[in-house]
Amino acid sequence: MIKTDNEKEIFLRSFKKLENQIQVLPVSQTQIERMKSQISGIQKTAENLALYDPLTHALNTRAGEWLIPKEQIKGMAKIDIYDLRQANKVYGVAAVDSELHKLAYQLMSIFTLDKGDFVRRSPGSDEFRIFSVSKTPQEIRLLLTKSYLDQEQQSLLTWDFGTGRTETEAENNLQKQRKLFRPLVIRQTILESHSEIPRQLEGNNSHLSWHEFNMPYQSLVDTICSSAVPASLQQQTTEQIHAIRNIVEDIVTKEALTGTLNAIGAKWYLDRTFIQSVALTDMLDMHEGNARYGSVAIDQDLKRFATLLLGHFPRKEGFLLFRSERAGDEFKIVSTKSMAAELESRIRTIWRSDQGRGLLAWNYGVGRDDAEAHVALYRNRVKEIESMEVPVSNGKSTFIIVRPESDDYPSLFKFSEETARIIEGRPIMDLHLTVQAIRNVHNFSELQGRLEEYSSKLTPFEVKVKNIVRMNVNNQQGRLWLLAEKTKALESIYNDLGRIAREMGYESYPYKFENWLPHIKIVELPEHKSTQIKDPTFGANRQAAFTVRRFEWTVQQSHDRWELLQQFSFPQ
Amino acid sequence: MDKEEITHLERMISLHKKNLYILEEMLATYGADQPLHLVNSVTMEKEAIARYSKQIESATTDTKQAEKSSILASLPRRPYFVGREEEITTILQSLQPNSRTFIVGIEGIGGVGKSTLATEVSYRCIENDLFESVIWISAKESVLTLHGIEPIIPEAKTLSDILITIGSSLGNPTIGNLSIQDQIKRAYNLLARQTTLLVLDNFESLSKNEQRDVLDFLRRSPITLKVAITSRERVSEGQIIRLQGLSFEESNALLEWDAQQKNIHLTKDQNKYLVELTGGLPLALLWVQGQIAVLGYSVTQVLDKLSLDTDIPILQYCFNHSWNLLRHNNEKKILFVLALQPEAVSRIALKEIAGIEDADSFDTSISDLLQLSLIDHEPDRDYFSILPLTRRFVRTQFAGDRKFIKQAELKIAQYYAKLLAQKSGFKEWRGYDDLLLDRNNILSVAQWCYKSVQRKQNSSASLTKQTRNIAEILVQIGIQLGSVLWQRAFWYDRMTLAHAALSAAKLLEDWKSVSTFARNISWIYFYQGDYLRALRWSEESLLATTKTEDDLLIAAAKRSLGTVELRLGNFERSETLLKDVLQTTETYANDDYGIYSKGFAQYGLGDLEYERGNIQVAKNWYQKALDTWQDPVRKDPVRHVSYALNGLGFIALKEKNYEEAKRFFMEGIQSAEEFGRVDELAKGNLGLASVYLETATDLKTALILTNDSIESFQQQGMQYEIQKAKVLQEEILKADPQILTSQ
Repeated sequence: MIKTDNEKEIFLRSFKKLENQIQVLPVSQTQIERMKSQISGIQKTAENLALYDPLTHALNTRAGEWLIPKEQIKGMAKIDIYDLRQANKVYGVAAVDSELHKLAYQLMSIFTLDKGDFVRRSPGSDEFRIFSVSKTPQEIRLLLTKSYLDQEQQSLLTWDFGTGRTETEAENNLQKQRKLFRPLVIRQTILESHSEIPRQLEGNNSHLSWHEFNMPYQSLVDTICSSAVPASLQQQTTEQIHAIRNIVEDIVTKEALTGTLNAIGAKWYLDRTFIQSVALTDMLDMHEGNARYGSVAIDQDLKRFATLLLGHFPRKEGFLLFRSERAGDEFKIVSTKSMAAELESRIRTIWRSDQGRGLLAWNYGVGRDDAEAHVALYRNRVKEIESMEVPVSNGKSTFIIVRPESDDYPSLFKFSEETARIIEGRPIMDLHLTVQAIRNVHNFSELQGRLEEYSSKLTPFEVKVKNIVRMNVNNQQGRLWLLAEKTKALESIYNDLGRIAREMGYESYPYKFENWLPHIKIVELPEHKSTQIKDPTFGANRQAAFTVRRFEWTVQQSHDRWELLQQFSFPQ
Repeated sequence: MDKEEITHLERMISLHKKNLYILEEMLATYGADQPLHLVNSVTMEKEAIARYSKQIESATTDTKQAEKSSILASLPRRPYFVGREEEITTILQSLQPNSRTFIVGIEGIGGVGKSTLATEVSYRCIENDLFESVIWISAKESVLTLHGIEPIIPEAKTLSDILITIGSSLGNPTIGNLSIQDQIKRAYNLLARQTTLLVLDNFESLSKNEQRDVLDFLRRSPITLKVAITSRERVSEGQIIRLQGLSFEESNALLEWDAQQKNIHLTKDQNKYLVELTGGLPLALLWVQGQIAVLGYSVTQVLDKLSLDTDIPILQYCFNHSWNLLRHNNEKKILFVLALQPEAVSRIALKEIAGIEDADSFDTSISDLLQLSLIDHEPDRDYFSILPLTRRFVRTQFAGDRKFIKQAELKIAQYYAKLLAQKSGFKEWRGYDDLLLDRNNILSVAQWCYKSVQRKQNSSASLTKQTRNIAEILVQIGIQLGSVLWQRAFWYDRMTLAHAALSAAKLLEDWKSVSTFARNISWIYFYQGDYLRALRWSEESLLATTKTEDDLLIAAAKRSLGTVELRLGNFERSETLLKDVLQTTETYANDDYGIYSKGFAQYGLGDLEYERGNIQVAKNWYQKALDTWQDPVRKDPVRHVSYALNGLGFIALKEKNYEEAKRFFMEGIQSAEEFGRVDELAKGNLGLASVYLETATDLKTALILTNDSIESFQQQGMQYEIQKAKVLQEEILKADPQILTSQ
């Protein structure tokens, strides 16, 4: 299997190699030209399959890596479909797909590749992103405004957008627009997942069949075989053609973010497979998670989760792992060997050991086919929610936290990942800094009002972090903290929030600001290793900074579970 | 060819020669002023002699080849040609010397292949020696290239241009120096000397005056001349051939041939999509492949462009002319009403929505549109439709007029709401098939209503009168079409419709409807074996009824909840709920819905006892349900009896009363079939298959019935039944392992 990091290079190199081989074949120039034109056709098809989202024909995640010159981006936009789940429910999946396609086309007509504009969509996502090397955020906004105003007439879908120089800026502007025009979608978590969308038999996708994909390669082989080149050269070239086909097949059937199989993979492999059992997995609250942690962190979590599944359900043991084309947080495991009971026990074990490890909780359902698995998934969710209901009503400890947003997140996470690797610990995806605790809360709405009022007076501030320390708190598992610099801003927030808590009769952190260690947990240490670390500095004395634009107010539901109550953005 | 035939031909030649001599002698007496009718007759005689001589020679000499190639040189290139055989036969028949037709008009929208057909006909005429000369004159003013519409200089713009071309083709290149009257005379003279086919391509490009003059000239031309005219407009003369898009097979053949030429490859699905999108319009098919091969776009890019772009030259090229010919607003209105709906529209709907009250005006408009090939008519059901490309063109014409669009959309919604009110009643079930012809159009109205309501909901807190009106239409569609979709097993459509209508009902605070839609969703999940989801929705349904005081509605929600609880194994709660329902419904003995509910409560109790293993008690309940549904108060017992009959069938099966079981299942199947109840039909078939298996009478039929049931259950997603049917299938295969090979 090709690693996502260097697949572009392998892809291009293999075509170059074949072209070079063809160039020196002892045949006429005309024949060479003909073969070259065949190769260029094959390469073009392969690139299209690899780089475009099959549903909307916008560029996909891989194209983001292959084509978009990130360092040259002058401006970007994020376009978010308002309540796509509801749209799927009321219009039906087919109608929504066609509307998404229409919207993508509209965007791609305004923002074209030849002008250095890129329209991108990830599979299963309700977002489009536009990147431009030629346009500023203001220019992009101007261009999008007409379509935005016309959407009521032109589309069944409703969408909002935000532009900016960075992901975070675009996201913040999007949220501003959203708040202005749309009512907040409040969902009861278990009932309104993507899985709730009624499913129709989906047999009519228009992807190439495997046979259609293979045909041009075969016809190139035939051309070479019929051109009377020496047997050894013929064999060499034919082998290279087959190698390319395998490389292309590997790339185009794989979803770029998670490395799982995509819709083309489903078409090519499921048609030829006898399915013994199916497992479906679904992340809880991905939409809310995106708003809370930022889409970069959620993507990271999806990658982590897919790697976990890929590790436990390898292809050589008869498993195929797919990511849904319509709901990016759903994965499907198809087993050609294990019966449902066996698959269920395997995935249950993984589910248990993975609880609390990622940003988003997930659940699963297993059955003999999709429909059964779908029913089982819901059953498991209901079970889990029921078991959670008791602590939910007891949750009175709340926390005010801040976190790095999308632009600042990757470097901090990378830091966490690298450090974790050195000491075989676990990196932390939910990177955040708790600025105060408010415990024993009984009137949530009153407190919410106070917090809202308080945060409306704040302005964005910067948090600088450096120095890692090792902590063992209350006999808990060892962890590494990245300490934050104590600033005036942090001091006043810590003290003000503590005062609000006391005024309302609740408890805050008992220590004074001088004794408080503002920090971000970056690594969880393996239990038996925390005392064996040789280099207590962990080879790092790195500095980083991030801008805080909002608070998050969370409540502790159980010993390892915190839920978001509300976000409070600071006025800009 | 035998001797006798040759002798006959020689005799014919000598006969015609004799005539020719006589005519020539007569002509000689006139000198320079030879009368036209004599010249004509001479030509006809010569032609006959030539034809017979040719038959004798039967292509033994090459002398004619040279003449042919000089005629061919003046014709446009002969492109790849597929289909249209019927049209070609008709045209060739009309061009035979013995046919009285002298003008053939080939009509159709731009790009449909009129010129290509005329070219093909010309070549075939030459191949068959039907004419001594063929003259091709084009009035085309623009061509569609891959880059857009480009103007060209037409070969002819006036009658004089045509006369000059005739002159120079027939050996009189200086004809242009004469006055127009003399040109005409000379042309007649020249044409009378040999049989000629004149092709006037793109006739509509000439001005109206010129068209009139040309037709006048043609009407008086010698009989040796035949004319083929291609035009986007109606040609009011001669035999008319109206061209439509190519058939699916013909389109495919054209695409494949062209793809081979251009070394490109479209998948089967892409070909199919392209043909559907263009309605087999050859120019559009070739344009797409040209964009891919020459301009280097990807297949998906070009298909997207064709299906989504509002401003592509091909739309203008194909439709602009026809559009500009529309004289009345009525025609445009009809087109727009068709363009706003996803599928074909009935005549009545079209007339009413377009608001054309006068029947004659409506018929004239329809006839004009048909003649311009802008709409299609399906005579069997009297529906009208337009091609996807036409739809796009028409919609772009109206894009700026938002007020008009809005009014039209509202009118469509009101029309279908009215239609539903008339045709969806439970007593009208025999007409459901008719109603379902409009299914997608009505669903599209529902989508529009939802979107409109959402839009308003966002911008203001209180409902305007119009929003309320639209929300009410959506609720009405949800209830009335929903019920029809349910009975005819369009469950997926019903589910989406129920979700949309539910949100409208909440907006209206219409709790009765909220409860109904939640219950609708619950039943679908129930039948699909998703009992927990069904439970959640039936609870929501019951919750909504607390805001109403409608006993029957509360009973309906309880019945749904009770049935779900039964499947979840909560038998006691199920029994309490169902008995509650029974008690309530007994007080509504004269109400159709009350009786309906009572029957279902009894049927549910039957299922419950069956699950508990109390077969006799179950049987009683099923029998009671049957009696209830057959209550004479309900005039139409057939509607639900299949449920009870199938229930009784399964009881009899369990008791091994096979004859009785068979009878119940057969009756069940019959009533399910009559009412169009797909799910119950499949259940009956499954029961019958069980009877055949257990009595070992006919395993082959048993397997066929089981397979049919599985397919039907799978279409509906009925998990519980699928599993039951699969078990039976295995048992049949076990009972006779050879059965598959013997089939």
